[in-house]
Amino acid sequence: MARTITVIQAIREAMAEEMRRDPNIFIIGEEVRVGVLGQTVGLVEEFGPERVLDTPIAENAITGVAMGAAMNGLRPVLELMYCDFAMLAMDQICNQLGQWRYITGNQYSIPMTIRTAVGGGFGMAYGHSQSLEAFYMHAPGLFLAVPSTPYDAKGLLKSAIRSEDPVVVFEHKKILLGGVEGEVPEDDFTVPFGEAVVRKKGKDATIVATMLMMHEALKAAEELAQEGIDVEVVDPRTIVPLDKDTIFESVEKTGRLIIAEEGRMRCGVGAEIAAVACGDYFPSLKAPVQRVAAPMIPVPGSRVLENLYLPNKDSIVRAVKRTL
Amino acid sequence: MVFKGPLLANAALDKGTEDGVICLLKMSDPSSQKWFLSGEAFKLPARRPRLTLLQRVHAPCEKNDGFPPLTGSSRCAIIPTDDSVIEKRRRIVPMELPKEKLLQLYRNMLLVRAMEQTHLRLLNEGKMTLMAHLGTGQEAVAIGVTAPLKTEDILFGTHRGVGEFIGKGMHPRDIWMEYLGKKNGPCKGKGGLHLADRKVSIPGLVACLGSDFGMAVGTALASKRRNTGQVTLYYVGEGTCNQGDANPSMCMASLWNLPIVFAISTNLYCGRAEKCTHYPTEDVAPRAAGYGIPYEIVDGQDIEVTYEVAARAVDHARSHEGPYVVEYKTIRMATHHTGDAGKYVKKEDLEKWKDRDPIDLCYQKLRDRGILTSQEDQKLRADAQAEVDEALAEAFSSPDPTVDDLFDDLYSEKGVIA
Repeated sequence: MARTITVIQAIREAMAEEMRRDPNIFIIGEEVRVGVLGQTVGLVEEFGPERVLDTPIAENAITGVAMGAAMNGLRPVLELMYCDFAMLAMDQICNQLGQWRYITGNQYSIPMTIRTAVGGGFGMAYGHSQSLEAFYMHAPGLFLAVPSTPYDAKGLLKSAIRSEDPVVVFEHKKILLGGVEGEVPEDDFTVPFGEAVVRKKGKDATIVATMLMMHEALKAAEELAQEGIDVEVVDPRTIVPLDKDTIFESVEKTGRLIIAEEGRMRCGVGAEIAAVACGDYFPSLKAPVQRVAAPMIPVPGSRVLENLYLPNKDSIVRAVKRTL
Repeated sequence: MVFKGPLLANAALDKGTEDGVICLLKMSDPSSQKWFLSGEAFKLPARRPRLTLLQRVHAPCEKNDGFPPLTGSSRCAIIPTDDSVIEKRRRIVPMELPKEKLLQLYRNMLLVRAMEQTHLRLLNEGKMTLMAHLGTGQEAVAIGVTAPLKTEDILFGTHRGVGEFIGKGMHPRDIWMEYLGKKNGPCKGKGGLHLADRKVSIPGLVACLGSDFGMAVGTALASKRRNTGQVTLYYVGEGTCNQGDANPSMCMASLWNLPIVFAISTNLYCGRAEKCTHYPTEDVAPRAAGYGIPYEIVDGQDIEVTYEVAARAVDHARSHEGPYVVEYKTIRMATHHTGDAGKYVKKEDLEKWKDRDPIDLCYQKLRDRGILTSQEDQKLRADAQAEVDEALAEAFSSPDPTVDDLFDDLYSEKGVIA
């Protein structure tokens, strides 16, 4: 039976159900007993403070703690509140976490999940609003999940927690707090990594969009439909691994590719997908690839400026039209 | 405050009871040598009085330069935590180790020295490319501190030398295999100097100094949560203790009362710089007091001291008493790494420590106690070198990895890269 729930509920359910299944799973992070954006609210009542473990404010060290715990038999779900703060843990995540299995010759697995929130739109300025998922794509050995719906948020998080490999799950604040709801089965399910989903079928252009931009892309598709432009919207769901088959099956059909993300443009998710398009699928392209992303400036604090900074439906519409 | 003779223990304990101070008390009078540990001499309240304690009691030094032999003095100074007076050097008189144990530690130190000297020779001869961070002069710390550990206890070690890895039980062959990048090494030749060996519970060696501070707290957290009885030893140089993660890691270790020992080898150099350019203070370990962790600062050249203090620290951690910090005063009788000319190294420092070579000191003990003759010593040294050479020959003749190994082991699924 499916019911309609929010993304926050979906994330909370995923953690609670997994923790009931396996006593070695525990939540660790700053203020997780209270739950900063609500994802972990109520879990301490069921699982106790040892399994919903509040830590001092020390992102790099607590990421190390989670890693060490994972090396020694536990399965941590680490919350690094915002991706801006997770930058303090980039040594652990990019130097150590993803590479540990390889450099130890498969002696040590690090089965841990990192959850971190991305996204602007709240007037919180430069250090609370960024979308930095592209940084992690450069690091080997990680899986990177970018859910946009409650179903995917729950299914991807469950896959992450069950994975023997380290996974970073990005949660967009506007999706968490902006009232996005969706149908989620009550029965146990997972969403596998590396399987994109076509959110809307279309024939004129392919929009590959992650997280909040997926929702903006659907709005753009509606608007474009009124002008007789029929776009296909593909949600990768994980950016590592990237489901190139689904994305480029669509591109081969439409011949036009637009990639939309909230992160900045330079070396972003779109840059990677565009490079694959130009390298491996060039003959399918009927027009230059277009990227929709944030400009190379800090996220401004002023709501007026922030609205200009953030990509949205309108910038996606404009990008699609540039390909036609 | 100075107590004398037999009064000392009682007085110190009374003092301890009044102030909630734990006394780690050792009298220098050999007839009454005894450690009065917290649980033994007086009962600790269950709720962590260690947060306010920290007592180190040691016989005073006659001199402040180095560690001269202790004389017949039976005085002990008792320094409360809030006292700003901190002795520059602290000595303890170790228990004599049983003959077999001492010999075993000696053999391990010889093995470490032979490994490292061989590494140096190979570099000079162009037979190996991986540079060495020699731990010459620190063998008693590395071997003593790992000796109380069980196989399942976890070690995070340092770049400096192979001492702690040998001490933890890693086979010389496995070390050579990794140093030579061989397919049959424990890390399949992928780790380089970053040794890991699951057989003896060494989860790995980080490249960025101090990145493993948190990891060590994590392995200890898992031991406690899973009730495995393991202790984690975080062995680190004083240079790395300035890394930011040292602070929250010690904080969490104490906060969660974890079975972890932080052992610091203060070797007077931090990379290519003298310690005094990195530290405003003589000692590193007193930082532990800020986290409510008991600590000791002791000689790192006497294997019986390094072992005894490590054993006490490991016992403390294993018996659910929480973390423990030990600082060993030692010397790096080498430059930062091979190829470093060491212009910053003070000749007078090395001169001063010349007669403090831990292997020589241990040999003197063995000789003085009639355990080892000079001839037998030569045999032991030759055996150590032979063991090293045999391991090396095996590693050299072992196969290199191939292109098939290049993309393996990144993810749990074989051969997958994403």
